[in-house]
Amino acid sequence: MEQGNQGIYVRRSSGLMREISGSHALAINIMGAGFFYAILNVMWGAALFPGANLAISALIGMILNLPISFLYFYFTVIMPRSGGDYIWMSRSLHPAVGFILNLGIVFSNVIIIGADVVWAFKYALGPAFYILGLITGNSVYFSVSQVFNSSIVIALTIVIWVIILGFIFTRRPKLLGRVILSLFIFALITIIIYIISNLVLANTTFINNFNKYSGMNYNNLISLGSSRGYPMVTLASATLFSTVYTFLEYEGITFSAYYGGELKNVQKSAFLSIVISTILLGVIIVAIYASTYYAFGFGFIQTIAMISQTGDPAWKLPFIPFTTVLWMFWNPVIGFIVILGFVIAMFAAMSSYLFVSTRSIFAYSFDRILPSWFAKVSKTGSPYTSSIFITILAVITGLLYIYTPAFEYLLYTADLMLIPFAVVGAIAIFFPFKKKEIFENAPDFIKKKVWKIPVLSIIGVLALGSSLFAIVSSFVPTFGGVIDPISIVYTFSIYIVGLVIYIIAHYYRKAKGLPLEYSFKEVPPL
Amino acid sequence: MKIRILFASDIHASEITFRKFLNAYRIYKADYLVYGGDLTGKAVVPIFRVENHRYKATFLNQNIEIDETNLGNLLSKIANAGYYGFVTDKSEWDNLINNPEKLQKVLIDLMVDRVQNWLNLIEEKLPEMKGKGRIFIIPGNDDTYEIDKLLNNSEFVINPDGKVVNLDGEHEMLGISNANITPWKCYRDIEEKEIEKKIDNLASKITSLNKSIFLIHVPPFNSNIDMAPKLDEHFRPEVSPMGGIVTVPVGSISVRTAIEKYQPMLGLHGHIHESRGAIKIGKTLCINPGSEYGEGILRAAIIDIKEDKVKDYVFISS
Repeated sequence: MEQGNQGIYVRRSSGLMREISGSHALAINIMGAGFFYAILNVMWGAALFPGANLAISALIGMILNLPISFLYFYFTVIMPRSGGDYIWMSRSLHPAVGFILNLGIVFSNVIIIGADVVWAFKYALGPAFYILGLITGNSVYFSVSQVFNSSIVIALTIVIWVIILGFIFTRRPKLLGRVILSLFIFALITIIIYIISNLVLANTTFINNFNKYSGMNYNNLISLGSSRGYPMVTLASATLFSTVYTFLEYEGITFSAYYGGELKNVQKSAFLSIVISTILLGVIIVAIYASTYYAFGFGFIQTIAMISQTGDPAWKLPFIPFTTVLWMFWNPVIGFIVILGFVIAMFAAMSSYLFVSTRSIFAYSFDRILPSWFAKVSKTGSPYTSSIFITILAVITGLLYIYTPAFEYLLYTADLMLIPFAVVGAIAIFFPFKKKEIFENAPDFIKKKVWKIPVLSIIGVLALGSSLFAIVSSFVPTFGGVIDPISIVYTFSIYIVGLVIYIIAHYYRKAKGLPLEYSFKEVPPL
Repeated sequence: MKIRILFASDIHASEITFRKFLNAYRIYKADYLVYGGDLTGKAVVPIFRVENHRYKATFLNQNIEIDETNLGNLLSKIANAGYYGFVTDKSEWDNLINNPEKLQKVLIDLMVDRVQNWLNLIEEKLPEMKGKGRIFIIPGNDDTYEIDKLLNNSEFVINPDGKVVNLDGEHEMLGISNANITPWKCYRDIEEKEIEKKIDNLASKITSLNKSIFLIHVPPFNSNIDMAPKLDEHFRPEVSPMGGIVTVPVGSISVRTAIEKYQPMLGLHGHIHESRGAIKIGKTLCINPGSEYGEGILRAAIIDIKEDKVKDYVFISS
């Protein structure tokens, strides 16, 4: 019996329901990538790539990311399944490759949970109250500021928020979509306020208040920077090098691929949430960088970024001066609104990371790599067991992040996302020829050719090039800084873990009678 | 002795999906091929002859115009999606539209043709199956009774509908093609009491219930493999205040009661395409492989059984 008519309601048979709309997917992806990270990157990027103009760099980053976005959009339409590139790689290459590489993505998504709360508290709320204390002279604000630096407060917040998310994940996917869309709208409004304020308000108030309350002088700092040779203008080479950095700001924009099995109107939703989102995110990020340089001055940003992150005594405040925080000197009301937006964005990002991770766990279980318990679906269409598992895992990793140095060596986690991009790019090149049946059944626009070459193959070449650029750059000292072998081993050990899990699943299933590989076989028509 | 069953259901006339089903039998080295009902499709796609040996059709919301050389390709695409392409002209089609009985006859003829072609395909591609009693196909509630004759006359296929059949001397299987009443009042929708009577009658003929298989098109009620959108009076899915589609169990209460009462080793079901899954009711493992025939995707389950146990099972999708 078929329920409903074509066009009214479509549901796939994994048990997960297609009820995530394009707008919800857009919000999940953009918050996963996170435009507010640009606020952090202004300072970090200036210290890593002195003289780099991150506005230009982010624009180049967007252009380099577009082939990957198109690649993931195409594959989401061709194979709209939970697990995204896990499904594509496991069906096109080998189940072990799909599983191991996708597990790396889950790993990188889950371990960042602790960092998001730390950043929200230590880089935004704590400093904001500290500056309020400076401005008002009220010591209560300094005490409040200390609260946000407290490990127990951070740990409790992680646990509470992750548990709330876990609860939301076990409800209808639509509920999560609505929650993240609300957070996205709030964050978007606050960043628009930030950008417009940067552009239209004269910075004399900021300079006056900064000079009055920070214990430093705006012009003196610029002079100091200039005397030390910090770049006061954009340097083309630094800008070019920094593209590897801004390139990573788009990681997350392909998230809807991982819940492709739940997207309503796949073509439209995937295009909106992956391709359009990439452009929208790019516009926002570029605007953040450009307006920040305009408001605070390029030379000032370069100088305070360097001295605040190198322990230079010339920097008097006990925190890195992210520009949301600097706004507290300028206008505490606008400052607080933007900081709230920043905090909300961090919490929304956590939601996106964990949400897509639940879908990968579900997909592994559905293919019997993990026990079937992980693929249980509630009557409301929620993969509740994988959600419970990810919730517990996120609580553990969050606490490990706060209380142990366990994740100090995970410098290359970005590569865990980039490597699947490259592999999917390589798959795309040959897909029209090797997987003819699936390709021929795809919508007409996917089958288009240019000079007899499938567009998908061309996109594959471009995406492979982009991803390899970023991967290789992360291991080149000029781009990625000093190579840390311990971090490399530590980060990529997740692949060893994945291999071990796969081998165990392989032999267990074989011993039971139905080999694991049965789940991945292609059956051509007789 | 361990035996392996390949089970699928609700292919609804999709040519490519049925061909995959037959091929999967070999690829997965199954001992038995079992099909859980709904062989036939639901719609005729008219392909109009126009001038200069050209043809026009509207298929999947696309207006198509082709020449004669591409007609076979279009018919094949339509068949793969589970529809019946019907080459006609405007006046003949208008006449059929105004005469629903004639149109219904056309549809039934197309259904019968497709099923006959599939039986011929089995004969051609799996000649070694002749008289072996390894392929079991029951109709489903959407299937017209005209196809039963074809299934019953085949030397390659056994139609276990309304019967108890023996698989390997150890395992018996009862078959029921009916469903409880659906909003669409399909060919084989019957009242719950009738389903109950049918199951009771067949179950009484089974020697070892703990080693038996219930091949019943409709899944048991409230089993998680019978969840479908709740429909309003216009057959539109109801939306919850939170904006989600409201789903409700729509399986058969009689099937549920029978499974709880007789506790067969295995229940094989279909009917609800969206509700792929497996669930234990007492000692009985009930499986619905789901269906995505419209996309040409084969959804099936491979099940290994030994004595009175389901040793392992896996859902496949291709």
